[in-house]
Amino acid sequence: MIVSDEVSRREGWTNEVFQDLQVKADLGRYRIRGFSTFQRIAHFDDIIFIPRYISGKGVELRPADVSTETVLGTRYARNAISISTPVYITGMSYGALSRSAKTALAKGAAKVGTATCTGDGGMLTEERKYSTTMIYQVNASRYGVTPQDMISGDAVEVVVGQGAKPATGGLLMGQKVSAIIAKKRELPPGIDQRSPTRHPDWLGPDDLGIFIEMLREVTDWRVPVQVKIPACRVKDDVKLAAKAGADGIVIDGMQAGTGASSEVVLDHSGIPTLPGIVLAREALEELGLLKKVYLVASGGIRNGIDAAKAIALGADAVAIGQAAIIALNCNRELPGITDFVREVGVPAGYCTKCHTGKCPVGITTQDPRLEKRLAIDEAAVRVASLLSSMTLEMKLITCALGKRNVHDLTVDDLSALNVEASMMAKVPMVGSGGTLLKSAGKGK
Amino acid sequence: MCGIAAILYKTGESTRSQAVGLQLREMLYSMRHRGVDSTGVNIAGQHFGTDYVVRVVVSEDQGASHVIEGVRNAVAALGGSIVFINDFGRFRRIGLNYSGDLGKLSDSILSVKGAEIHSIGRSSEVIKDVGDAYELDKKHHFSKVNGTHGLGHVRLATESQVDITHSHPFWAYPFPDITVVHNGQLTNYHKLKREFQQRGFRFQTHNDSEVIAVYIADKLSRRRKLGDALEESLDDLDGTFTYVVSTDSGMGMAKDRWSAKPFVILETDEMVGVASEEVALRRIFPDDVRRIEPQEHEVLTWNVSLAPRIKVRLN
Amino acid sequence: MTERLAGNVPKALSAPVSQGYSIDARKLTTRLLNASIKSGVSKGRYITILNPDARHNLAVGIVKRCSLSFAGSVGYYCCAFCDGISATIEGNSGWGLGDNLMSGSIVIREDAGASVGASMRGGQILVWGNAGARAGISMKGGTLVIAGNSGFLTGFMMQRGRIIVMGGVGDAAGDSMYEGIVYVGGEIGSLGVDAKTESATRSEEVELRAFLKALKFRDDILPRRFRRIVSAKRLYQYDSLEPLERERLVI
Repeated sequence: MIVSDEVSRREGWTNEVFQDLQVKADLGRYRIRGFSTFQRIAHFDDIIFIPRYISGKGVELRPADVSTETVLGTRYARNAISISTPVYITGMSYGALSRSAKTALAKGAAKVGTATCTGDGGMLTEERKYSTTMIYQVNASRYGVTPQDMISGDAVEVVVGQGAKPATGGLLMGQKVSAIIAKKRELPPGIDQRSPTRHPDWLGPDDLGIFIEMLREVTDWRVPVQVKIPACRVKDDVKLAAKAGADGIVIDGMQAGTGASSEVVLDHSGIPTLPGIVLAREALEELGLLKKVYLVASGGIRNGIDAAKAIALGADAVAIGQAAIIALNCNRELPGITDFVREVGVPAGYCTKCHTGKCPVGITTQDPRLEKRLAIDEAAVRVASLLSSMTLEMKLITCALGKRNVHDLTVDDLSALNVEASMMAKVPMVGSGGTLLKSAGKGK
Repeated sequence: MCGIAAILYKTGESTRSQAVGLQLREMLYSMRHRGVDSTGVNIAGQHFGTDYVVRVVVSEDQGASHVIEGVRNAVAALGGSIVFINDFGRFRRIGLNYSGDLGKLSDSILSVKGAEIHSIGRSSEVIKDVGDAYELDKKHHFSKVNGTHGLGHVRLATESQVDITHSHPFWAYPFPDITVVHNGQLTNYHKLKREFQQRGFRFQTHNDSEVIAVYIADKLSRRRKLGDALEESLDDLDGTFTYVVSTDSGMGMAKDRWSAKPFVILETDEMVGVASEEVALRRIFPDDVRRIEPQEHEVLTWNVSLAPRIKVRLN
Repeated sequence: MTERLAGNVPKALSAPVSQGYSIDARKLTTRLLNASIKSGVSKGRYITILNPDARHNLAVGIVKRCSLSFAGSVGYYCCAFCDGISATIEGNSGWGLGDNLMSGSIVIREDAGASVGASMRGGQILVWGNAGARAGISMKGGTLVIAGNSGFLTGFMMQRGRIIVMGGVGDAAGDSMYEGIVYVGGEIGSLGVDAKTESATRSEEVELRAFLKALKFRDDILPRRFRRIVSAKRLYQYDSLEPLERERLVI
């Protein structure tokens, strides 16, 4: 079909908008979907590394020479967590994900010696059993939270919010509130569950300080306490969390994923991951706490090079969600087993229907017939391979820059390919030699 | 990010040996886990011996003597006369006599580059600085200052540099003896600030708490009673807030509709103490005084009623 | 507290125990104090904590059966994240008393601050005084009894369990409840979103009275009748769904 010039040049009133409004004229409410924002925003692809050649003595390094060992949580905890690579699996709820998916993630992470995180649905015994480093999430809903589970964790994460949907809480549609999930969360089965947006027992940074101390007392000051913040007013939030006594901060940018959210907040609230990391780093620098309080970046980290860039911008580690899910077969047609078009109405590669519970590959579903399609051990190997590939990518770029430790990557190794990325990441635009950075204004 | 505390002696005389300043120091120190970046107090019901005491602070990038010279000139130009100036580093406690419009005097002082006013009062003054309550006392010796009532605040700042300007209590320009301490965050701050600015009010900071001081002062200047002004604020202010206002003769508190910020009260026939946490009040009150927790959307006021038998104390 | 109620509060909140010892909180940092309590608990002792001075985070994360008594007021999160404790508090508490209680019993003589019993999963909390705002917020099980009045947003986002308030409740009571019941003997300030009131049934009244009498509530201070606040369940589902969302699987 030949589309006329007028139609193909249309801004603001695209085909997608037409369809969306027609659906809303039936629906009468906001639309919900899974995955993350699809807005075109400056992201990691818009910044690049710049190795030195004649200007710097190149060192003969191979990826095997590069260290990726990462230690997080030396500020207050007795036992910091130690992982073999600076990428771990972020918290995703049991409820949003199937039991098989959570188990595969734990096994996969353990295979490479990195961490997993529980989620907005409590801890599964399989998670603790298979994970070598498990971060225990305490979030606004407190579903499934028990002192014993918390004490069994290797770190505690206080979730203030998620980058995908700042200012709203978790959403689990009725299709996924099965009898088992309902029992775990102590809810009526089949309802459209909405988690609270803020914690029941603390309301401001002053109380957060007391709350964090409480978590430390529960865990005998053994384990790091990190605070997960959606990237919004980053400097204020990071500074307050650091002052409230966090060992680490997880900054979750706009490109982060979710099992279900209204499009209103998915696409239209929060700031991107690139400036999120930079502002968080600056906030810690201004407090004199950089590297004393660790920084984890998350929100659309897709591969090892994204991770390396995040680390160069100031993160000590990154957390992946969507990438890990994709390693579990998300959006992959399994011949003879799945039929995406028939099951979810779109071809494989286009599905964002996590919230419906109809996941054809058994990841974001509570239907046992679908969950069966996820072979746990095979999936665990795929997750481990993804993590290994990311680690190898990080090592490759690190040694190309002549460095022996991935944590030695810094902003000085980066340049930006366009103006937006340059201003967001505060790195010089290629060719401008830093002039754009000056006019962008340093500091606040 | 904050803790607030206040104390008021109902008959204006304390039967205790402790000065109001000392009691505030103890209360604020016990809440330092709520914020140690800066601490501030306002001690009211003092006898200055001059018409007003003005607390001025010189901003860091200016030379102090130069700025104070400018302030002297500003006061003299309006017919005021300075009686004493106490020196606390970059702070000056200026006792002056003046019978004109206080708004003009404030503007005149504020027009001196590098001068900020922490308070102007007939019987009260604001003392605020970086550090915790004990550090504040070491520098400014406020634990010796007595009065009929006082309020205080501890702050956890988001700014990194040393910054006193955004500390509480906020003085309500240009009304003497009206100060506010606030715990919480106003969400309609920008809108309210613009409305006041259009009416000619000046703001010295970007802190939302300052607008509460201006709001209350505006109401009081239009002859609303303190209690009514506080009641109206419950609807006019949006966000989370628990705040305490001090005037020359009393104080009042308002708690938002969400009951989001903590606040407890201990009261006897002689005195009333309020604070963000009970731990502060137990420093002053014995165990057997019962604790009261105000409900959401609530306003309370207390007055100092000075009986004739109270001796007039000179500073 | 009303005079009638004040006369009913038991002199001793728990039965006297011959074996036990006391710790003076004033001499210890919170860390040392909690470590002492945990160590004493593991030896199976009855512990009295003297001079708690309304401090925060006392006796948190205790998952062994034990008996604790606080000879004064406590601050925030007292006895949070505990399982199997039996605690009494002679004064007031700050926010979050008994937060996430798994099982056991907490009795407090005076007033509890906001969010008492937040997210509790089981066990029982008894407040002889009044409770602040958001009592029983996000509750997931167990019983919260308030002899006096309870504040704003009582039972907010409650999922399971029972709250029994002998006095009145403030505004927005039972807001956004999933399940669970708030029994109220006195006035209801106003109902929250998706909440409704009903009268308690006869058998419920009988059961409640028996339960409260076992907790030492005298007949003359029990309310004449209880009303129940429960979820009206109108917000359980989105009222309109997209085609793919419409097929509901009951698993």
